[in-house]
Amino acid sequence: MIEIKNITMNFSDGQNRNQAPSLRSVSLTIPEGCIYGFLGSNGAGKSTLMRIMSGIYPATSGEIYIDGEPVFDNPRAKEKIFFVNDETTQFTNYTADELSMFYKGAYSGYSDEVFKKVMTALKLPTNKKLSTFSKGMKRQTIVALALAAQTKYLLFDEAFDGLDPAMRRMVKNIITDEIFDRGASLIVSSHNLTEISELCDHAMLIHEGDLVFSDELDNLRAGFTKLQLVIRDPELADDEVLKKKIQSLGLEALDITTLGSLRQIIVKAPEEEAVSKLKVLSTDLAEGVPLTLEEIFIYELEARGYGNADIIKENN
Amino acid sequence: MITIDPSDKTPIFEQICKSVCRDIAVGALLEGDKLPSARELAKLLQLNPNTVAKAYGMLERDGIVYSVQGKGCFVAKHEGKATEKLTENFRAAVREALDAGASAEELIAIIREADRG
Amino acid sequence: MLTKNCTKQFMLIAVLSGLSTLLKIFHFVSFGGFAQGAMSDFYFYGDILSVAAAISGVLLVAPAFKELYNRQFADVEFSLPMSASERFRAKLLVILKCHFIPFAVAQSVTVITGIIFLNSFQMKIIIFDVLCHLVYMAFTDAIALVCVSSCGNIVECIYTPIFLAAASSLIIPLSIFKFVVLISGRNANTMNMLNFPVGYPGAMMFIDSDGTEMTYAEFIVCSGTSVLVKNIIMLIADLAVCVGLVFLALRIYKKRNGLTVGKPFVSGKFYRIFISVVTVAVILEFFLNSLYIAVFVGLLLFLAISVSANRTKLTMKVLEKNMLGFCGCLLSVLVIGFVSYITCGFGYTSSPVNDVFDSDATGCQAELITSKYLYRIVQLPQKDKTQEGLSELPEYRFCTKEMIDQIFKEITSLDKRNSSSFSENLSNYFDLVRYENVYDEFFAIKAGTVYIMCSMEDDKRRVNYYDNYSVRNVSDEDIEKTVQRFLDLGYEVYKIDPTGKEDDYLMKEQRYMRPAREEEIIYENDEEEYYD
Repeated sequence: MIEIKNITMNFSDGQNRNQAPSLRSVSLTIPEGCIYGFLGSNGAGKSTLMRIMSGIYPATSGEIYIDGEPVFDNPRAKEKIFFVNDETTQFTNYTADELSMFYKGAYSGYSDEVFKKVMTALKLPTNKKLSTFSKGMKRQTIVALALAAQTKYLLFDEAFDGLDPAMRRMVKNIITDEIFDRGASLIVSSHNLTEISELCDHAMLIHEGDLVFSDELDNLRAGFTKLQLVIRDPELADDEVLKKKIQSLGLEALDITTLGSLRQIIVKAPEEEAVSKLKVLSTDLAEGVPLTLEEIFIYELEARGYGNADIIKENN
Repeated sequence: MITIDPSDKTPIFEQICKSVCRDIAVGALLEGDKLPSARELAKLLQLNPNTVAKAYGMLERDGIVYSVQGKGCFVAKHEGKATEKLTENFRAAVREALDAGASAEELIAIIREADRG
Repeated sequence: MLTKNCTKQFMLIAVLSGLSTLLKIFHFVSFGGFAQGAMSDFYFYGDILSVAAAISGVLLVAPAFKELYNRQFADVEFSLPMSASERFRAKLLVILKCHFIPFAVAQSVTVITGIIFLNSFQMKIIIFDVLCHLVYMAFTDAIALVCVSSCGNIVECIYTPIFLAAASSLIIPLSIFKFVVLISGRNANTMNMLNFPVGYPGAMMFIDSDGTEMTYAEFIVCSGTSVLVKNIIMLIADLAVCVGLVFLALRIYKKRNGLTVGKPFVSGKFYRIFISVVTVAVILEFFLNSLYIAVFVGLLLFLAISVSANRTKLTMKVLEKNMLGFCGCLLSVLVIGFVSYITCGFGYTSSPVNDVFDSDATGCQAELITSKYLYRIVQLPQKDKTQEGLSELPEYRFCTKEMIDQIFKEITSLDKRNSSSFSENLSNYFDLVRYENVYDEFFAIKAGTVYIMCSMEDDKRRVNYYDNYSVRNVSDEDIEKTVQRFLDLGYEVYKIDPTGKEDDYLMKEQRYMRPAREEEIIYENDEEEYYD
């Protein structure tokens, strides 16, 4: 399990002291055997956090423990981590075989068979320089190396996005085996909420250095309900008034939209609770609907006062 | 056939449970039949492994399946629990309708109509 | 895999080393060694290529440490389960593999071929040469390691080792030359320590323009065993310094991580040391030559480096802070220069001259020049006691060490600095630094010169001369006072009219030998004395 405790990161050049910290006291726990999604807009701090977890950056304050061991400058802890960044340009002069030998020498659990298996399945030549590969092929090679290293924790910094469906399927299957066999965890950062929604069982959202939430996805989804109902009480025609009324019923209304005669309300509560409490407003209320991850995001951010939820909408 | 509908907003682990229950209820899965392992199912349906594991855990907790160490998950004795699970929602809906003032006969008529179609 | 980063450089080094060896072997084979003073062009160019191969290391160290200035490599290497020491060690091995091995192989081939074709004296030169080039290689790589560990940008990683290696090789010899030799005014030809335990061997050759036609190696080897041994000890000390630098580099490297990639100078301490050493070396180079050039070039260089180093965050405040640094460098040179001025080279001219009187074959002459006459003091060596005419003069004083010391003492005490007040010295110093071209005059004018004829091993004679340039502006009366003092002390003084109009004569009454004629006096090293 990876414990991230109160990580704060200040990129200060010594001169720009008023610069906002890149990460502000972020704490979360990544369990074993899961697929964890890191979400957030560009520059929110996802990549920074991943690099701190990999021991590339030292945090300004706070600690990260990987299976109980602090990670910075600790090869024992780093044995359990493989970091894949979002670039493909670093290895252009090398062949896949050379890279395989390199990582084999670095990671004690490295498996040649896995590497060969993946490369064969992808029909990628291992003795040609990567400069002859397309960007997608380069990405695939790096992911193949990551899988071959057989580390307990894999960190993909937007590395999943560049994979085609066949490769994605293969990676998912290999990860599935790893999860069951060794309790491995895959940590993926991405802008693609749909994919994260399908792929992950946990997720966290960082916005401008602050942790907005971190939880199991099912819990997250279950915590929000969308309902459509007709409210005949003229006093509640105004959205603000309706919001206060809902509050008085013990619920937090995140959004109210009027669609014709219908009012669409999004409350931060599980479906049962929402339905039972809001029944007083309308007799037609029978069921609510869970939100998509995207909708949860937008409303969470807006609820916390980050009006820039549009950024996330556009990124998708 | 265990399936899930990605566009369905119901949580996936619930869909898996319901799918298994449906199979048991219609007789596609009989007592003692071996379910695909969580791992196999996750790969087959390209689902998150924990989600599948959660579903299986729920099924086991409700007594619908049981697991044997090292061998896998098997369908438990059919005591109507599967059916019970499927009809959970129906029961709730019936209660609601009766509360709202519908009569039992009206409801029975609806059921018959559905059966016919 | 790391070696892949360095393949091009490896090829370059291999080619240069190979060519160098080929040229040298060709020389051995066709010229059969070194004819009298003739070091053929082949050997010379072979030498140059060998030095080039050694210095190419600067291009090798940076790519081996790519993770310090390239973000992608930083992501890869810093997340690996290797400690900083392990990474450093791995890279050191790569440098050894790509630099040391081809170089060593080439040099070994040269040596072995030399053993076959050359005699033992020439072998001394070859082996000394190889040792020097080894130091060139070790020092370049060691400095490059320290520089690359302290910098985060490829530009800095390449240019700082070059500048720093050159500057640190030159700064000690330059300081000695400017602060001790030039300012004190004592020019001697007895420079037999050409190497200092820091930097490239032979840097001193570039400073004293009184160079000979011989190569550096020849010069050392021909100067006698003790000089050779001294210089070899210095070279070994230099190698030890290189090892120390590698450990320093490791210490600096351990503090590096992915955060500082891209920052030109990661270590502030290193930056300050670097820019100070380089600037001071440049200022020193022109010190006492032309202060204006010294300040101009020094300032230019300083500005260039500070602007480049702060190119990501250039503000007026930063520039101002840096300018203070330049003023500090300039001031240090001027202040040390002044201290040296009033102490006559930190006591250089007043310290006894060692190792000169070594036998009864040592004789001495001194010259003092007024506006009209040349006064020459001649003391014959002890072994001339048996010469005819002299054996009957019991009171003739043959040359002893005490006499030599006394001659020096008298001459150097003429230096008007000893009798000036502090403020006079200060203003003279400022005039000296600003207006005079001490350097040129130093080598052009001889004044207060003392010649010492020593014996060398194997019976060859050698003359050391010591100019005391500082006595050039002394008044005629003071010089004549000193001459009188010598006479009173019993020295043999000749008064010579350079125009030839008056007869030259011995100022004391004893006329037991004729005055030494111009062509008989030995002024310089006789070059023919050095070769077989």
